Amino acid sequence: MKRRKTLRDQIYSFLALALVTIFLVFLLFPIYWMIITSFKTPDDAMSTTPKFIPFVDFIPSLHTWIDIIFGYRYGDTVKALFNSVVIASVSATLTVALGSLAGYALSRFKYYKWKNRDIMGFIIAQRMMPPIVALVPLYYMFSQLNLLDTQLAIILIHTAFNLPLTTWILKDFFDSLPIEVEEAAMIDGAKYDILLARIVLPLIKPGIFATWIFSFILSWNEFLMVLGIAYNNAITLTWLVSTGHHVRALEWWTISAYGTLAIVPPILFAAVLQKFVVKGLTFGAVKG
Amino acid sequence: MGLKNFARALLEDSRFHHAFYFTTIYTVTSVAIELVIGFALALALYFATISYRLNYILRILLIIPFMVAPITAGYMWRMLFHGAYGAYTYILTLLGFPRVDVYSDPNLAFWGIVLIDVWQWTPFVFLILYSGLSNLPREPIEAAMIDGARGFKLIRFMIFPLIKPLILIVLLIRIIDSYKVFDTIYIATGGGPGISTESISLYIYEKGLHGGFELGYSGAIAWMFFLFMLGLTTLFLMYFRKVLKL
Repeated sequence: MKRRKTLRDQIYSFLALALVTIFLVFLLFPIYWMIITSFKTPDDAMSTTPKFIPFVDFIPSLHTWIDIIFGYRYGDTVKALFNSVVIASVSATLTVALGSLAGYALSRFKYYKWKNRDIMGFIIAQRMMPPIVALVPLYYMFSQLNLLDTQLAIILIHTAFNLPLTTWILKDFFDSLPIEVEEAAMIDGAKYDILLARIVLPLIKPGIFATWIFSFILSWNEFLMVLGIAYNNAITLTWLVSTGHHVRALEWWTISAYGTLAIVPPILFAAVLQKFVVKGLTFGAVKG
Repeated sequence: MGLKNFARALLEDSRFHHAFYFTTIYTVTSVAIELVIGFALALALYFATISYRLNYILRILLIIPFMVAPITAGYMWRMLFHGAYGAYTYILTLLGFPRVDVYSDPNLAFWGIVLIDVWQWTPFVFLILYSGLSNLPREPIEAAMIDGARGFKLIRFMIFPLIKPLILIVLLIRIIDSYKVFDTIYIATGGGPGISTESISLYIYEKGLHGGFELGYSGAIAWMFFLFMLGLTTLFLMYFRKVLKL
């Protein structure tokens, strides 16, 4: 049943959208400001009457970008970018590989004594734990193993931290598959390895891909663990952004450029992610 | 001997007490603001019926902030409120306010930190509640509207009871995450001025890894923090069971 739109509804809709738009300005202005700051010369960035509009208030310049890509910061930039990409993609791959096995097991099997729902509860309980609680022992552990400041250490930590959410999201995908397909394959004599590799995983390929992206972004944005474990070789982009805090003369243009680099992947995938974020972060209570 | 660290933290360490107090106040304030604005936004977009496509685009734009790394978010606001060169500082002086650096002002730093959290997580609250609203059965709401329920009454007696479980879940997630706060404070104020904006996580970091290197003591605090979170979550979940009759 569809109600006829009255004038009152129209006015209401208009007001509501105006409200949303105002809020949108509040949300997007900081991002806009950071991006234009990365295109300012130091003089423009340090002006006491801030310059708001490119080409009107100031002439955009590639000064900063050339500086961080070819200048004396070249080493840091390349290292951090490379580390960010490697750490995020390797840990996302590991997370999805392990998470899909766990998710499948929880979706299709029953266990003695434990209910699957309780097991899921234990898994997600990790989210209750503040990461800082784990950082102190992890720091100690990795220093004993001589793994401080290595990509491997951060990859392992990120994998462990993102695994619970990923397992939840992937279990949901497995649940949505009709079990009859698998039963038919079993009757034809397929073992579980063949079943997973040839039938189940290809069927949920889009889900796997989205989960991979989700996990990638989580790892890409993570900062605390990188701060604790890395100080030179394994630094990531978030780490470089954080140096904006220490440097006494705030080199805004430089940090802004790093920040701009750091927000590219999340914004690129915002549309893809929104559904999975809803489902994953509410522990599956809401369908996206 | 073994419990010395715990006793010290509970009885003597006033800096720890302050960190705990700050984190709690911070969590309550920012989560309350986020919930109110997020719910209002979700309702606004739910009832606005100009075009489906426009709604979709607005929704995607609205959720961008929580995709951004918290450290970058903190940095953006640090820059906007810088005492000498910040854009917002400048706009505020145009409006007649004195020129201050929000993040080094003892009174304002707290609100500056809350503002970052609101900026970043209101979109999240919005997204969850909006998805919840979209999944509600449309018929009872339309029936109520035809019967003349409008505005506040419609929201209070029709929509709120339907969406209540979801609000509780969002509340739980936001409280847990807010207590963990580290990145934004680390970059925006570094816990300062003084220790006025130091959160528990930041204190543990400072004590154990950054300055103090008292691994044992910071480990003890971390443990208590963990137990506290566990207790809080358990209480919350028990309340859940009672309210939702699971």
